[in-house]
Amino acid sequence: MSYQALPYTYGALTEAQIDAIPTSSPKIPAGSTVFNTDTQMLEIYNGRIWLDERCLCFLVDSGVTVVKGNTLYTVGSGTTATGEVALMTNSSTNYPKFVGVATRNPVGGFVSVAHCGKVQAIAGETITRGEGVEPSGTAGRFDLDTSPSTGGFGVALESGSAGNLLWIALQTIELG
Amino acid sequence: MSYTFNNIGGTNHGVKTYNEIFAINRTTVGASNYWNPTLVSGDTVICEMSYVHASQAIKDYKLLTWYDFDQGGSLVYGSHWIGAGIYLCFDSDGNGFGVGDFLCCPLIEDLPGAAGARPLVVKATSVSEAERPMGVALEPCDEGGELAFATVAMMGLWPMKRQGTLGRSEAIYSRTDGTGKVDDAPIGSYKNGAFGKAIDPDFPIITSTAATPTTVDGAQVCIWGTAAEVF
Repeated sequence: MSYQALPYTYGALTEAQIDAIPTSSPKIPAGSTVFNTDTQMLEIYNGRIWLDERCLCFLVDSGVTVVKGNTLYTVGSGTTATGEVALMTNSSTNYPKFVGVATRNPVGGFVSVAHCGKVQAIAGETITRGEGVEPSGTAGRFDLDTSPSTGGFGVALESGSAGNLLWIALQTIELG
Repeated sequence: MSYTFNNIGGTNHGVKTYNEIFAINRTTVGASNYWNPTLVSGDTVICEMSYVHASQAIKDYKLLTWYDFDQGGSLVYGSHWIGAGIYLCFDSDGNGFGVGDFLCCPLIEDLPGAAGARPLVVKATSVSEAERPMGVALEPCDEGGELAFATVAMMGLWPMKRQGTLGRSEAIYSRTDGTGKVDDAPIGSYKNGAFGKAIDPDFPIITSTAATPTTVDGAQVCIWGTAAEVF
């Protein structure tokens, strides 16, 4: 391996540069690494997508469109629960099924989902930095939770408007 | 430690499975997960967790570093694989535990006085302990053993022993019966003690050192890692 500023397969790159790395031609091996300078985290290629250590790889439910920043839950209940993800809603029955936030657009139907840490999510309304956050009435987004209670899953780290990608501190969802 | 980083991902040992790194039969010649390298503090490896969903293999990874907690001094803590969300913990009640046992914080009144600075862990024997989930054991601790420190994973996807079948749509809790198993049935009032979500509901946990080992029921569960149920 040639010298890199960091001892990773692809050194340190922006997220856009990482996403532009050709992965199929030539096919790169699972376990390849890169430091994401936008998130300041190590990412490892799993043969399908790039994942950092707060993320898991999920299959997106058939017919569902997911983009970076969407809040997600696993579909179905009991024996019908498949483990595939769809856009989170503010129904309390979905709270135990919440899995986190998509950190990238899906590739080939698979998406990286952060379950904790600093992550960019899509706002469903005007957001004020420092307030709690909860699932939005608009599927896949988050709203303010000014009186933190059941459904809260973190804290807003920056202010913005509906539709913005905003940094939040993602925590365990309150089941209550 | 090698500075050539000449394996996959720039690590010393490339990609190895969870069972190659942590299962108690990993150093038994003939085991399918045999891996027994000479490790030096600072060595790195990528730990692979995988499962099959809808005929598709899904893999998740963690970067681990082999670290001598005594830094060449007298043996106190030993050397362990360490990484994000992994902590070296103290077997608080001296009852021991095995790889894949889920561990919780002991009740305050049970805490020994000379536990050092390491987090204290036990297999929960009450609702109060199970409501303080810590994480899953990556190494065994013998009952009354001389070395009472072992690594515990407190964040991310890890295999752990389960009771019955875990629903993918349910939150996961520690059992309260001292078995170190996890369950999808709430243990107390509201949802106190919920710590994660089952991702792969069937992952056998190796419980012997034989090349063809015994196993118990297990699952791969994502430990959420931050905050706790308070409302």
